[in-house]
Amino acid sequence: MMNTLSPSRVSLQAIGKSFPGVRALDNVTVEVAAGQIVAIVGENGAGKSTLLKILGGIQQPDQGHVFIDGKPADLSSVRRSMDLGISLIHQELNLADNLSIAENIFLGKQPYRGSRFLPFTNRRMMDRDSARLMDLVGLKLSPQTLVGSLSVGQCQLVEVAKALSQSARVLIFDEPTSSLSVAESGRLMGQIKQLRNQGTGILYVSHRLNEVCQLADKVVVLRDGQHVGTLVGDDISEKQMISLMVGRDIKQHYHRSGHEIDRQQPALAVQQLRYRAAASPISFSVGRGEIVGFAGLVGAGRTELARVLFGIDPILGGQIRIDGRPVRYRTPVGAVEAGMAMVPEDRKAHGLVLPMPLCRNIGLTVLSRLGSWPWYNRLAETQLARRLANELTIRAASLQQTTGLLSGGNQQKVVLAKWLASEPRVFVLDEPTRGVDVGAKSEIYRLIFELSAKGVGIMMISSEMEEIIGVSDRVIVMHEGSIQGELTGGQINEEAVMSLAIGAAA
Amino acid sequence: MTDERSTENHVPNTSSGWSDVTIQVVVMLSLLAMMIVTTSFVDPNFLTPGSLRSVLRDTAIWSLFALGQAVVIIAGGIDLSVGSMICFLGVVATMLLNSPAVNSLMLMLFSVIALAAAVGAIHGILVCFARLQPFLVTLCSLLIFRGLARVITNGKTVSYSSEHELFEFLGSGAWLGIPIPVFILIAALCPLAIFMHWTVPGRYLYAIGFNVDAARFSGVRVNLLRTVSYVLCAIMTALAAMLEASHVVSVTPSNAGLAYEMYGITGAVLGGCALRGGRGSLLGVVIGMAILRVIKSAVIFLGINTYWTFTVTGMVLLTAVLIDSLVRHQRRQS
Repeated sequence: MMNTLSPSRVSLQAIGKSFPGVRALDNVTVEVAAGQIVAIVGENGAGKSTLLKILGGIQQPDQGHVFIDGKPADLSSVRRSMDLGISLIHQELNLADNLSIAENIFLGKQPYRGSRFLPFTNRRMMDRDSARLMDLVGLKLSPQTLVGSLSVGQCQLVEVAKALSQSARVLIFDEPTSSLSVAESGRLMGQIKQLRNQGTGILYVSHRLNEVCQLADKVVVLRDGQHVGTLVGDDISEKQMISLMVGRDIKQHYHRSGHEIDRQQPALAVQQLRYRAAASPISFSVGRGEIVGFAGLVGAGRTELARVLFGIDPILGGQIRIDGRPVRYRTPVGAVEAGMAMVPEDRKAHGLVLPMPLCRNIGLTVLSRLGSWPWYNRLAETQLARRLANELTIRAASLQQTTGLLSGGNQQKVVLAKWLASEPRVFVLDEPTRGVDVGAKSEIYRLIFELSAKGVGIMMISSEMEEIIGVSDRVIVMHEGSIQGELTGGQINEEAVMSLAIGAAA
Repeated sequence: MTDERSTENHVPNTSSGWSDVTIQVVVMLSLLAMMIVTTSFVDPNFLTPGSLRSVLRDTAIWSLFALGQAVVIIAGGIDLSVGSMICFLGVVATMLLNSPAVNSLMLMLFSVIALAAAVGAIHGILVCFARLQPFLVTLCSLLIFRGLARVITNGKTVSYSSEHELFEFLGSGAWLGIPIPVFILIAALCPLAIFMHWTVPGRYLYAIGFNVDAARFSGVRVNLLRTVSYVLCAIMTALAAMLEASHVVSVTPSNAGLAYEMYGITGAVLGGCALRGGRGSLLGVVIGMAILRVIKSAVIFLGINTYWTFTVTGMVLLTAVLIDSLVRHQRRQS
């Protein structure tokens, strides 16, 4: 440990926690000193979320103790944890879109004028204090701006400001950059470093290992609920973390199959497609067996394009051909019938019916084709689910397990499984590995390559540069609602993608 | 599970114990049994054939529209128009029966059901295609059809002439001592239950109730199926409306079917439907309705002032949801 003399701001001692059938945490010890950034890394299901929930007072440990500034801490409720100065910034943001930044920062503790029984909001004081906090996190906007009009990155900063307003002494970030663009992540990380220098203890959970390398003073690696290693200072490297996380060396994420790509007969050909979010008509094609990466900054209009292609938002003009056949549809039903599949960006809202068992989620796309219509064929559904769950190595207690209880990586595999069942010709993947751990990631890549080897055309939207470069056969870069340029083969590199993404000519 | 990392068949297909809905049905059945035993203990007259028959008949008629309501609720919607539709369709049925142009009972039955289905389809279209809130759409229908019932009758009570014995038999008759509405309920419940539990569109309705967006993103015909749920509700309501009109003989436009939508929702929730959608069993709804009706007559048999009926019903519902919520929370924690 680096600062053995200074008392730890937070110290988790020999924490254990079990759920039915799963040992989520086993004898895990983590210490965070004041002015230190400690990163926790591990595959999905390694126990990171459970650890954070214990700190946030959402769950109680079965074993072990938590100390704050050397004193035993009672974390039996969210309120208590907050009162002790622990602030948890969730992966899903909890802001009210219809309120201003200042109102969000002071939600639940608005300053008032007049008596306690007839409180009037003290807007001036709230705005002044908010402006100071916003300055601290580098948010240069009016405190009266509506949160609904902010980008995801800006919302993230509002959350940090909110945490600071509660005089947080320990800040916990759960995947803060998973929906941020590269520039926004950079800015956020800069702010986090500054907070550290001011003496805040910071716990940082992220799947983006390169960020962890840049940021962390200490890295705690968890695997299957066990504390498998601690890296400090110069020992922190992506390679080290990965080998500890998976218990073996992963040489390369990407195993291309080297099959032929048939560009003469595209799986998907889009000509002069017009829709509301398109700045100019969009034309592109995806060959059979080709993986086309769609890069761009957040808000470049990639998700909007995917939604239009899948029949969710209306097409205003132009033509779509699938396997050479012109297709027309106005709903996802039509898109699926035409041979499309889509892994949506927002897994929880659009990808899965979380309260349903995982086998029913897998069956959702093909239920009407299993057995003889209109009869529901439970046996066929179970068999299909079992086959796909094994093929995709989905880790769950049973096929009947509620999908919402699975870890992020396993949930994403369920989304992929349900579309594999429908045997699509064109697969649209919107951020397929968001919030997914290294192990599950390489399995998802393996699946994408296998699909492309079978001749499926793949359109992959991703905000992770490494993924775009590592997986794509060809890269299309979008900027402000239109296609800015296209890169193939040797042209694909970080600088070229970035310069197109920020709007420079090819 | 002993080895989490093994790749061979590592996802067993076992469900963990009983489902929430099964537990709720069992709890409700025991509650029902308890109420019947207590009441008959205080006043054995509660168990006379006449009184039992009346409870059975009322339970059957009310269950019909509660089941329709349940289908809509499971699919994530709500139908507030049920009470007004009972009145409006009852008036229409009675007037058709009395009109010389319609001399066949069958013709009347089919026209009323077709009219109801059309109204249900309009609800569905307004909700799915015009993207209006189900609460608002059916609230408007609640007002519109109550008003229409009063307009076409000029506010006067209508009753069918005594020559329509067959129609009267449907609501008031009995076979083997069991009221006819019970048979009609069974005849309607069976296909409906088969539809909801054993057909693909039925399973899709549950998925839609949980997360309509995820269902849409999976290529489910969301709009069509939600419309179907409103049509089913309207048809079930039409059956209840005709039986009610038949049994009561007269329909008073100002108060026939008043607040029945609330009874329907109460029965559905007692039967295990989540108002958020996606959860519920049809058998549970029938039990829930039986509880409602037994409360109603128990209040009389126990010699309690009948003004208490609403209060008692509300308390029972509140207790039921409270227990359900606590049990569910416990199960999630463990």
